[in-house]
Amino acid sequence: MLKYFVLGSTILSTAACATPYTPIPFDSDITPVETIQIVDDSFSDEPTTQKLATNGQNMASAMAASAGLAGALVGAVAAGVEANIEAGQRRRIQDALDTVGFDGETVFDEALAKALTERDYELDALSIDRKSYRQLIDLEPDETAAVDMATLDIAGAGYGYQLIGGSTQWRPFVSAEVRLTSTNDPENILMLNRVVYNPVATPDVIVNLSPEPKYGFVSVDDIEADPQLAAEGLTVALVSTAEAIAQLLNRTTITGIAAEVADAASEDEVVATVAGTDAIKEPNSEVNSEMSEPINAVAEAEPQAQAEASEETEATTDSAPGIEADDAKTSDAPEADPEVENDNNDV
Amino acid sequence: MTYNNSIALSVIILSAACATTPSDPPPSAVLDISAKSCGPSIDLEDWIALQPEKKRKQHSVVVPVNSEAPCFTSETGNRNYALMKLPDHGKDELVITIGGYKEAVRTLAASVTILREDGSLRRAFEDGDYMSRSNARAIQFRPREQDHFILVETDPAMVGDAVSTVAQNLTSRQNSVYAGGGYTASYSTLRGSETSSHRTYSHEGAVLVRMQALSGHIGIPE
Repeated sequence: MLKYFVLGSTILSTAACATPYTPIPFDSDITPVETIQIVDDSFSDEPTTQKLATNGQNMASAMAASAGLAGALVGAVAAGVEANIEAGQRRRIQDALDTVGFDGETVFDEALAKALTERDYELDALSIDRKSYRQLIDLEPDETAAVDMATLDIAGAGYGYQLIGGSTQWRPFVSAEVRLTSTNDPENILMLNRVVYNPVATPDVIVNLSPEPKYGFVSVDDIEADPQLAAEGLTVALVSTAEAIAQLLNRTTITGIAAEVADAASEDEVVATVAGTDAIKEPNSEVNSEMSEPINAVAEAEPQAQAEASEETEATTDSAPGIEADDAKTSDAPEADPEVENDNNDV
Repeated sequence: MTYNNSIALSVIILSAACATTPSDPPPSAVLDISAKSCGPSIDLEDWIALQPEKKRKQHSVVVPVNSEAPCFTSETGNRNYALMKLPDHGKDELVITIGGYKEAVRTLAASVTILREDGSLRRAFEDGDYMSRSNARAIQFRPREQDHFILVETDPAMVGDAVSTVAQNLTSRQNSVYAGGGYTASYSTLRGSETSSHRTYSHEGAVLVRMQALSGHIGIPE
């Protein structure tokens, strides 16, 4: 019991620390889409770098340079030292990738087109002047567009190589926000999400992709020594990101089929539809007849069933796995993490 | 008690006091539940309510799936499961992220389906719908009319598969240093680290459920 309480608290605390963000999953059963219009210029044509940790040696240099200054200035000087170093390293990495003709924007565009085509979407393009790669574009409605046409905008905030500390390695990263809207009504958001390849903090609910372990470089010298491998690592990152975005647009194909099967077999086959579709494909009348009574009981006495379930939450936590963690989320839980409560936004 | 016995007892007590208690190793993957006594089907009366007790914009629930979890026998073997009842809400106004939580060395081999109130299949998800979201291998969907239960069952075909990953993490630390002239300078540093993980899909673990209201509050649409 205690073990699971701790497990639950740990998991939920982790979730609570992240910034609340509500994605909108795509559901083709709600709004069928046949043609996707992709907004041009999703990513910059030039990779960049991120140095996300503070190098201790640089901080020491800053201390020496700013003795007597207030603390905030010390940090500013240190940040300046870091920025200067990173600017030089970024140029060297960009130059190394240039030597093998790496074109990240084209890599991403081709991978996205391929992944969407494989999902039977017709593709179209929309050219708009993008002010910032960090912001989705305010689209105008195209009232001539077909109702099954949607516009996909991708704000590719950046891609390249990142280093998060002296004892770690340069690894590829990609970060993008994606949104699918009805072309004739951009206010109608069909899908909204974020995809991060190699996130430095596990983001809440958005898509996070782990980097391929083999593409790590101890120093910029190593990238310069093997630019082909560095380009390959970044290609994998961009292709994975494109594939993930296409996955977010998977069609909802099962619902209708399942509904038809269920309707056709409604009287005596569909009760125990578990294990994928085992019970539907090979109905077992013995099993089904056993299940029909509990169904009626649930349907008729649902409020009572729920009340009983809630009481069991408190009374039988040892025998009812799965309830303890939920306890931890309630305001009555004695050791509830305050962040968790905040995260839940009680009203 | 003799003097010698007293000494010996003291030594034992001191030894016990000084000994460090080793922490429990993380739970390992459970690959075989064939010996578990399971029924032929799920029990529609044994469900877990996802509706929060108070109005909330977001609500998270963790459902452990352990040796005491309910199970049923399918054609491909025994499967542990967790049956959850969706909160009442307006159509399309709720976003649910649900899947197998990634623990230190294992991930629940979770397969998610949506059932109607009578237990019939409403919606299933394909492998391509599962993605790494938060710390889970999860699907994301908007519940609709007729969606009543979420069934998470372990998939014997997936159990035993392993995934190796590397992650880069940042942690922030506040520091201070004497800067001369009576000043103390404070600054924060970001410390980076890399961790490698090797997780095996398991019949036991935990289900992570994250509910978010697009409008209104969970269970109480505006």
